[in-house]
Amino acid sequence: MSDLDDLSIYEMFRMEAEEQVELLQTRLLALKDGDSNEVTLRTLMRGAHSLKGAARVVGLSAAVHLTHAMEERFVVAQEGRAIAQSEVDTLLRATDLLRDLAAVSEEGAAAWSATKAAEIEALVIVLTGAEGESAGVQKSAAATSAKAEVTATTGEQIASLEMEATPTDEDESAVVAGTNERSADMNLRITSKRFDRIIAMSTDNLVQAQGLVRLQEQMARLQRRLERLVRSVADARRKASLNPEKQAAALQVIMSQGERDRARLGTLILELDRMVHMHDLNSERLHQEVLHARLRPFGDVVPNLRRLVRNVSTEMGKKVQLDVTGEKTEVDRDILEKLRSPLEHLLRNALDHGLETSAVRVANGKPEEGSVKLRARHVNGRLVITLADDGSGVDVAAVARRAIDRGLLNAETAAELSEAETLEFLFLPGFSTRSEVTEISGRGFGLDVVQSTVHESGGAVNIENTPGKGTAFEMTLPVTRSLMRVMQVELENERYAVPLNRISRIAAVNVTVDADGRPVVQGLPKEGEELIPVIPMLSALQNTVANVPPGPAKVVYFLNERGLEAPIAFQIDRVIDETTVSVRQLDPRLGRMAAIAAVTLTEQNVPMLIVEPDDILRLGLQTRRVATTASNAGEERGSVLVVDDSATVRQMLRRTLLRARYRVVTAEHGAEAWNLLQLQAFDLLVSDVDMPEMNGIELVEHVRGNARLAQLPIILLSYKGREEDRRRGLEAGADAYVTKGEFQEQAFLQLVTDLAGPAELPAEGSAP
Amino acid sequence: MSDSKQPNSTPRLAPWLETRQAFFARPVPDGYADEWAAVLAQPLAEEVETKASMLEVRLGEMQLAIASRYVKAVTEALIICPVPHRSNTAFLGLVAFGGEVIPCVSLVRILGAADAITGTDARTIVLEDRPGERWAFMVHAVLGVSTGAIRARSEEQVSGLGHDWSECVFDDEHGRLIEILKSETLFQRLKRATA
Repeated sequence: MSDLDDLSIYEMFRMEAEEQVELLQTRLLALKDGDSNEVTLRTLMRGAHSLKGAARVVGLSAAVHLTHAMEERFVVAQEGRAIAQSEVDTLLRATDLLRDLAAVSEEGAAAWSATKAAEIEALVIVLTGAEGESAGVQKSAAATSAKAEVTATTGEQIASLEMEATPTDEDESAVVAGTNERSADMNLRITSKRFDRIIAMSTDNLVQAQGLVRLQEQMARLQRRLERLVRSVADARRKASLNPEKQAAALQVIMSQGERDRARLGTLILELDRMVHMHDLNSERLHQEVLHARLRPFGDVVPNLRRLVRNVSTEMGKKVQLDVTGEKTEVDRDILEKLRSPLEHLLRNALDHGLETSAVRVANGKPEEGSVKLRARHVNGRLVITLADDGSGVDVAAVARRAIDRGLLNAETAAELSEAETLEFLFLPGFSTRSEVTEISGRGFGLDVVQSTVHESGGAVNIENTPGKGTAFEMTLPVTRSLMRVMQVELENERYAVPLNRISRIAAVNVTVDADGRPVVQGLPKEGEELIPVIPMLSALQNTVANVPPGPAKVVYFLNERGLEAPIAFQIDRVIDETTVSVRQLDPRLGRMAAIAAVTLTEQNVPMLIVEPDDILRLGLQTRRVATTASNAGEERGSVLVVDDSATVRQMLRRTLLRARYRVVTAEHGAEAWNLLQLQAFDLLVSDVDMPEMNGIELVEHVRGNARLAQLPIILLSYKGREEDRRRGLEAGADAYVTKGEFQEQAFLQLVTDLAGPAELPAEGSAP
Repeated sequence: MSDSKQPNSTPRLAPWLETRQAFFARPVPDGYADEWAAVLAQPLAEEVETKASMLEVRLGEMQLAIASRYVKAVTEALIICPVPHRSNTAFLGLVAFGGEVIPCVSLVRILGAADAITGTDARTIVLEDRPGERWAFMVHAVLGVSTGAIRARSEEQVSGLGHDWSECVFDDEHGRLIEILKSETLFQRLKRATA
């Protein structure tokens, strides 16, 4: 892959188009083979959506038009209207067109659009008109010829628009839409000055290494001389029995030699000290240079965002001013790359959902021109990016209504939610308050992409909403993920690395118990709240319940996301050292690991886990709550994990259990369920048997093989009703095996109650 | 569709097409069908023997062979870093090898072969399925790398491993007959263990 910084926006679009087209074609061909599951359709929809975003950035409205139609068709398919084989052909033809576009140079893009406009329009007609009928290619072909003349004008308009919007700045970085992982193969560009410094320091290191080799040879020579000296002493002892005078002379010689060797050893040690010191200094400088080579100014992403604002605001007929501050703020280039897509999503949302039209703004007493402020800065060693608009703000009541309409919660629960909790629904996949979908935004899956991308980079997203005045999204991320200052601590003979910038303090304290017998330690002196809970850090990591015995203990106090000391302390066994570690991402095959952010290697070349402070705090408080509840009033009950690769079955079970007042979390397959089981506590697992990734039997075996989860009640629910299937499920460790063909709601709910206990949520109409 | 109307036919191909038509249009020679029937009726060879390079290891009492092409390294027993509430009977934790952090799985537990692996002969094996997808597991001992013949496993050679784990045996250079772990099953189970 070429250096991305050397590519123009259009070249980046071409790369993006190639990747997305390949993805779309692979998945469409899978559709052709009858694989029409939800994951495939969702992947297709995302692929079309990402490509649409990329096309919009380079102003290719013809491609936007086509990809929007494709996306629409995938959405309709997700809602249950299957894609006919003839439509798959149509979609494949659409991807062929996009692949052709990816091969066209920037100069030829306008001409290509003009040439293909009629064909694109015909495909769009087929794709958007195919709802409810399997129109297919035949209709498409007819439409092509019938519409070709009609759309000739449209084609010209598209072409002229593109010519106007085609980017010209060669030095701009490009937008990387979608979530493709590129960093592994990405080349880095650094200035020749920095590169020269790195070479110079590497050369110094090499020279120092050669000096160490020479020193080692000199010390080896000295060792041989000392060995000879020892042999001389033995000889002198033998000679002593024969001639005492010669013995004295020999010993004198030996002592003189020993004295010279001792002096020589002293010189060599001094030399070694000097070289080690120089080597340390040089290594540190080299490290810093390499680290800084990874950092780029935040301003690298700004030109694209300005272009996006210009294109979209023009298209929507809105006047918008984008103000950017902190363009020189340094960010790790991998994180910066990953930020491009979330920032685009947020900007599009601000322009489409947030900012009102000029007329409405003026009527509301606001300036005619809408304002979007983008700010990047470092706070407490973290990168904080804020994107705020002065639009109408999010209609929190509409969010709640939408959540109720979608069956995500009932009206009573919605009424109890805080504004912040209600706004969390915006980050759910596919959640949108818009009744109609536009090409700009409104599908609603932008924000979940924003959140997941930021989470992948080790960050978090918060919304601050002021109705009538605007919305601000704040993303908090690490400045770099390559190097990190950590405190190494020991927990039950294992080392863990704790990010130093999240440690408020480490203290030797005296653990006491409060009136309820719970272990507590001294927190930051506050009014009426001087004692805070303390739990073993390992129990938070393991999500198990354990108490710290009263008496002396070492504890870590963390800073929360806002930089304040969290009101819970974590007991550790030992503080080892403060050090800088090279951060490695966790193997994606392991999935999301609660409370573990990354991994590094110790000086003994052993993996050491880097803990995630936010998760530790969350798990700590959760563990504490469970411990408190368990000791006071018995464990909380009523949480069920439903696993099924069929959305229909999942939904059916979810509704059944919700009606019976259980809390329900769903997963699409065994592997996702296994990850969820690591992250939170459940009272019952209800699982299908035949699923991708990890089937139900394997999931049961995993659960039964895990010390913490071994006692979790499990119901297997399957279409397979043969006796051997049932036996296989029960032998694997399931508590019950229910055949879907014989499913009876009341019997099923009775079984759930027997295994998980009665539901905890209050019945409808009862007091909260 | 006749040959003469084939879309790809050109005047230059016409003579060849005529020859081809003449060849296939001729009557079947006497006894031709019987000859083929006799050939097809012959039993297939009982075993197809191929040669391969295998890493031979000992897991408890079992001696097993793993195709060498998947083996990236054999190293002294590496220190395992357990992962809180993820390490279990099958997934032991993470190991570092060659600057990489690799998931370490207990093949012993997956196979139900023996207890924990200790001792000076213990080794860590690093396997690679696809580029970048590496797994580590420990064995009681490495017996060596050998080239030999692979044959289908007959029932009397079964030593506790099911057919899903092993279908073939390996005649090594030292005259040992060792069961070969099926690579698909092996990687599938390793993948599940780390899921």
